Amino acid sequence: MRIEFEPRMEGGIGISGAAFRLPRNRVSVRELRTDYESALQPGRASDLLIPKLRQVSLDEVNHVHVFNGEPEGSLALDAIREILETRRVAGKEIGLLIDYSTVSRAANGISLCYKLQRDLGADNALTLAVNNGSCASFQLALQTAVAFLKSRDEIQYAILFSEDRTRGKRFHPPMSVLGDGASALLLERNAQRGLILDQASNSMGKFCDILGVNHWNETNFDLSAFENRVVPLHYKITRELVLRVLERQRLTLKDIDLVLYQNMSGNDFRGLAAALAVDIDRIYLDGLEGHGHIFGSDLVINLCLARRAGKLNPGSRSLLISSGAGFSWAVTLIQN
Amino acid sequence: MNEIDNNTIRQNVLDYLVSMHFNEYEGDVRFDTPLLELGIIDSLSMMTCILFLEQKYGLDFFEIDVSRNDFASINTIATLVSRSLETQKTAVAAQ
Repeated sequence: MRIEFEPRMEGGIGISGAAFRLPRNRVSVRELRTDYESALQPGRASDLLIPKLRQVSLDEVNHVHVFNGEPEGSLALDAIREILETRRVAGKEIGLLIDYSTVSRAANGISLCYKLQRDLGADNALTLAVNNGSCASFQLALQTAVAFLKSRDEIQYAILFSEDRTRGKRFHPPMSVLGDGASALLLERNAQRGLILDQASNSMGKFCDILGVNHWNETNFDLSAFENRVVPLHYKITRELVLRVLERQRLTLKDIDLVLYQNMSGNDFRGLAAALAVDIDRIYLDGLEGHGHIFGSDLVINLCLARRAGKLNPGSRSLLISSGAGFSWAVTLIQN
Repeated sequence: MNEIDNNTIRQNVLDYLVSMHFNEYEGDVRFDTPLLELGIIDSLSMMTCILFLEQKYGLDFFEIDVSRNDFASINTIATLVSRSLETQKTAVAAQ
């Protein structure tokens, strides 16, 4: 069964702040070579198409950041505080606090949203975790937040955050290198920039049997089924979602100044460019090196880096595109 | 779907693959050429091939159980199309 979610925006709700934090500890991907080569052993990924088509190279990532003793929630808290201070928003003004972490929660298995609610003094916030173990959690959290803001007038500000720490192998399959980090967004009514113009997502429930519990540690992840059943449709679904959003807004890909995509590999960036028939330089590529794939944080990291690099001029339009195991695909159109 | 139709599908797919010149493959492409093994079809060319088949035969691949192995050769692609058209025809007749 395919489930689609397509809220149409009427303007006014926007991403008015974004920040990310990385653990201090840097690990060269060369040190992870054993994991990498293990992931390419015969009978596994090497028998499939992934190594040829979507495989990451060690050089293009160079290094990732890895947690090493930082307290749970500390990086996410820093990222949120940076946004709140910049926007001069107090903790008590936050009406909604959503955790979109993918692979990591507090030690007791419960979302970090309560701990951060306390640390921020966000007494008035409704707390929620959109955490299905998939990188798509970020965009699904974004859609959820927009739906809340549209339906609850008393919510002026929503904070979305994640803090992901991988426990186990960092190549799985070798489509990317998993890094650790935290990210946060401020969603705001009557925002002056980062306006969310449209969103769409597509969930293919018929693929749910490909995953199992703890799939990022390779337990119950049917890689062969992923390759055989999901990969043939991956770029088609992505492309159709993009075109649907653009058509609804009476835009074309020529109206998009920059595409922000998940940081998987150079091959995957090139695959997206080919699927959308756009030049690779219209996709933001610089977030992969030094970060690897940090699940839902990828898009926030790329948003921050692109803004810093002056690539998101006021009034320009960007597409946020990502997908996640489970399997969901999502697109957000924003006006910077 | 009868034999003639299946041959037509195979020929249409062959013409399409030759015209697209996927991955700059220079050898002959026949009905039994191993498309995946030779790298003629990858995940990107698979996507464009799926779009071609949807447009040409009115199929919806969201509703079809498609697998990478269905793209192993032109023969298997034609079988996929024939099977899907038959399923689609049966579903319409049942309505």
